[in-house]
Amino acid sequence: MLSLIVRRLLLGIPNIILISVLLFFTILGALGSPATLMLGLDATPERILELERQYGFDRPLYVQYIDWVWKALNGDFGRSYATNQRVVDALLPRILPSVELALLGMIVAVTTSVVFSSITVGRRIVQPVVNILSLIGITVPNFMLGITLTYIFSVVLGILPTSGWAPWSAGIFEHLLHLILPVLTVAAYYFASFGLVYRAEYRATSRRLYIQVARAKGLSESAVSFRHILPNSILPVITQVGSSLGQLAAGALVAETVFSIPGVGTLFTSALLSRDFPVFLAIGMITIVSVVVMNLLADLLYVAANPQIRLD
Amino acid sequence: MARNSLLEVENVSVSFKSAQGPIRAVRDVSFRINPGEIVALVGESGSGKSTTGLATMQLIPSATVSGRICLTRKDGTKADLVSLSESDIRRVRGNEVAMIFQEPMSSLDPVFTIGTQMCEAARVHQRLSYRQAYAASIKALEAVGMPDPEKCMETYQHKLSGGMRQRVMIAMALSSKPSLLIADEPTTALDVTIQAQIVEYLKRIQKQTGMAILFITHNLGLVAEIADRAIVMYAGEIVESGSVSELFTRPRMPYTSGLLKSLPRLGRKKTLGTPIEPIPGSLPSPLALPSGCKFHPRCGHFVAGVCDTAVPELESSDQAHQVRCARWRDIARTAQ
Ligand SMILES: Nc1ncnc2c1ncn2[C@@H]1O[C@H](COP(=O)(O)OP(=O)(O)OP(=O)(O)O)[C@@H](O)[C@H]1O
Ligand code: SF4
Ligand SMILES: [Mg+2]
Repeated sequence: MLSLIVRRLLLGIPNIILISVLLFFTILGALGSPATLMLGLDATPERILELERQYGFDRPLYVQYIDWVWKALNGDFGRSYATNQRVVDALLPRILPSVELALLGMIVAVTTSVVFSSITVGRRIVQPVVNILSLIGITVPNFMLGITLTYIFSVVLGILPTSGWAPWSAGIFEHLLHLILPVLTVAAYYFASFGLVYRAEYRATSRRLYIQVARAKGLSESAVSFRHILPNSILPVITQVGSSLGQLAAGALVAETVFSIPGVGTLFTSALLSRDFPVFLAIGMITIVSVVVMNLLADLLYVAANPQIRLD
Repeated sequence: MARNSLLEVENVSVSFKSAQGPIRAVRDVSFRINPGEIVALVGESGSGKSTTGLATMQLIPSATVSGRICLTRKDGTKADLVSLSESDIRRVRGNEVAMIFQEPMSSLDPVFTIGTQMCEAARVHQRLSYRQAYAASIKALEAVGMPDPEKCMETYQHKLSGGMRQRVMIAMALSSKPSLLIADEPTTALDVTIQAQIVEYLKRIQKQTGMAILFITHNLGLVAEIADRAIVMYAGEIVESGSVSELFTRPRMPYTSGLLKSLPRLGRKKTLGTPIEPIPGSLPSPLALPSGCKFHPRCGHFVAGVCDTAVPELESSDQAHQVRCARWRDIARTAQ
């Protein structure tokens, strides 16, 4: 187990380096000098040169990359061009809301998709509902879903806040109340995609002899489903959670924007719009690292949930 | 005798739905099992043995079962398993009738320890604390000759050999002291020495507990070793039944004789070099059953107009010996 963790970690590091190099070089190489980006196309060449010298963009790319990584490792991601704020200061307070949204979204998606697909009592009624919800989750774009949910629950029914973010200091109830719609919006798609994977695996597991054996013991259908089919069908979902958390690492962009949540996603959008190179580079790198870490975690969780691998 | 039989299967038919029409896998099967009796259900692959066993447990939701399967319960009352509600049949499964299966390699849940699964089985029908269930499981594992029961409780199934897994299955099946054990080819997937051990343990446990066993097999050699009585099935029907000694010495139905002849030298250890005569042809498809006697396309005694017209009745050739063959009297006469 320990050697497995070490092995996966060692594999993760070159991965991170490779992707970060790729990111750095495509942004700088393809988009051209950040100075041009910042000053706009009609800037004078002298002004651009001056700015390039000032920020060190005139150095070779690999030097800039090493310089950036070295500073980043020391916690210095530079300063925002737009606000001159330190990138770290701009970024740090935005991490918690994004992480919270992503985690809650995942938890809601996993539990609802797995539980609703495993219920045996009243399956004939539950299944069609699950199917319709899945269809909505997969086909309806996130922004539309977010807006529709807001319309229904906030505008028409008036039971939930339209948007915005209540910090923990505003009280846990207030805090969670503001999270309901964003979390549902994030969870919808994953609810559908986890459900698909889970139900396919569930069907395959149902045909196994040990499930027949569980029935022959005299267990009820729902005990068979939750105690035996579920644990044997959950592994592919865990893998999916890993890669999905990676996707969400940059913040659930759309949900954050629709509900104006002060997360990493909204910062990323504004950084892109204002061509705030150090900010989106920092977010990009953090995303890469968390994707790798999340996948690693998913791998480990997978191993922990599977005795056959765990013990060999 | 009829009053105290444990299981009475009466006119049971099982059919599966399929795109080509209903598959009538088991047709009009009737037999009974007395308390403490070991009855073998014999036949080639596909003859409907497992289906009969599973129907008794009501474990084939995809099939339609008709007829009556009457069980004398532990409290002395009788219940028709076919018409029992889902929650009532659950109190029978594992509790009064237990079942073990052909593939021990896939009979155990891979994500739980043997101990978890055994305790689960012990606690389904009995009010036991986890401690008591654990102790009972250890005892049950000892009874089936598990070398190190404590260690076995902690392991996962993939660490155990096929023989060990089947022992666990037997121990688990016995945890609620069922009055009937349906053993569906419990040794087929195991190698010969292990087979013999498992059969030994089954016999020993049967003696100790006095439960009845329906032993499903296609191996007549095993039938001779374990069973008191045997029921021979062909293409979903019972074609012959009687005491094992009677069937082995005086088989009346040509199919049973064929099975006996295809047996590699009964009762002798060295089987190498002995001529065996397999029955020519193969089991008909359940979707295209022959007319009359279902065995007639493969039968050496076939007479056109006699065998392929009406389905022969199952008749008593002797006390407690039944045969389904239009010509059994002629055949018996010429054999003498
Ligand atoms: N779930 C099912 N759906 C459709 N047909 C089935 C199903 N289960 C069994 N059958 C059919 O029923 C017939 C009897 O099958 P069964 O498994 O009872 O035979 P068996 O005597 O136990 O054979 P084996 O020695 O291979 O276990 C076969 O023709 C089979 O094709
Ligand atoms: S009825 Fe005819 S075909 Fe069938 S077993 Fe008897 S002799 Fe053979
Ligand atoms: Mg079978």
